[in-house]
Amino acid sequence: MKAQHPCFLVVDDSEDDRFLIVHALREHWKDTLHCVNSGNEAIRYLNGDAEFADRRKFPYPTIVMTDLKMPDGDGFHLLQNLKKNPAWAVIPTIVLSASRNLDDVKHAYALGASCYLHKPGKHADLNTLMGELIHFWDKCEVPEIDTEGKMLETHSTGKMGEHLPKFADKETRD
Amino acid sequence: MKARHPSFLVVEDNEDDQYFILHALQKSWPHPIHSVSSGEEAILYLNGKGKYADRKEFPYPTTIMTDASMDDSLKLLENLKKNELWQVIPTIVLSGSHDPVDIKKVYALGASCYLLKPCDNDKLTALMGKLVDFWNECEVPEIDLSGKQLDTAGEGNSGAGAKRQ
Repeated sequence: MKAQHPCFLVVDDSEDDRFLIVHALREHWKDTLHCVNSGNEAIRYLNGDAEFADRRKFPYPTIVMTDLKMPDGDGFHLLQNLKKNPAWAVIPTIVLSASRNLDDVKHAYALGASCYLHKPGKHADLNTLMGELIHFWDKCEVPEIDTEGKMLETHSTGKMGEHLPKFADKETRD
Repeated sequence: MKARHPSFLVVEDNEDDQYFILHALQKSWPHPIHSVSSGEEAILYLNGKGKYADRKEFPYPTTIMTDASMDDSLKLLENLKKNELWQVIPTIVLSGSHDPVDIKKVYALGASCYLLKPCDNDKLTALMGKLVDFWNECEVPEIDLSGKQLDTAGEGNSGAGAKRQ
């Protein structure tokens, strides 16, 4: 991921799964990896509530990966909350779930999941999957945040051409 | 991609870029790839209107990749997001801009991810390879051959179904 202050937040209630996921991602993500164990805890993390108030220790995430089936705020609940909040809606959110039920897949995408991965049963398969994830997301641009954990506001109007006259757009493209 | 009928729709107005993207994708993507040259045409394709009426020839896409520098690219993202059937199709944005405002705007409009368009072909091929490797592993909403998304009667296995009702 091409963020200046990358932070990967893993949301999973299973201690074993968290261990395996962190193990698979650690080499690449190192100390930018953080874990919480429920949807509601993820929301507290994003808010910087109480135990997560120190942004140096608990940086604002640039990407979230969440399980679906969790007590105390499941993955759908988290997705819904991310979608509702304009500052959070732009954080890419990967679903990693043991469910391959088509309703769950559709529902997760409808709630704004970036992508949906099936959590493999085997450790080796999880490692492979996390490897593909790293290779791809490493190439993705994500919204920048500052060290305080706020999304950066810029005064630029963007370069995609919508604010420029068409000829100027064409010139830059040619 | 773990769909039974995977199909990729590329939306790109620049003819050269379209050629190179399709070429790069085809190297690693063994399923149908179709392309259109504007957001408006993408909507026609999704609706199965006009020349896109034959779903055997123009299958409903399970993934969309769109160029963000087209005049109507943001409108396309808005239209996809507004439509209940289309909002669940993962949409990959390929853009020439690394302006943070553009990146944020595109994610806010529901894009799955944002990739910078490499200017050289080897890099484009490598990027498309990584993209295919990753998206091959992703679950996506199923469609049937007539191009409708499959409606499943299940409540979901992930335990959230009951609460959602």
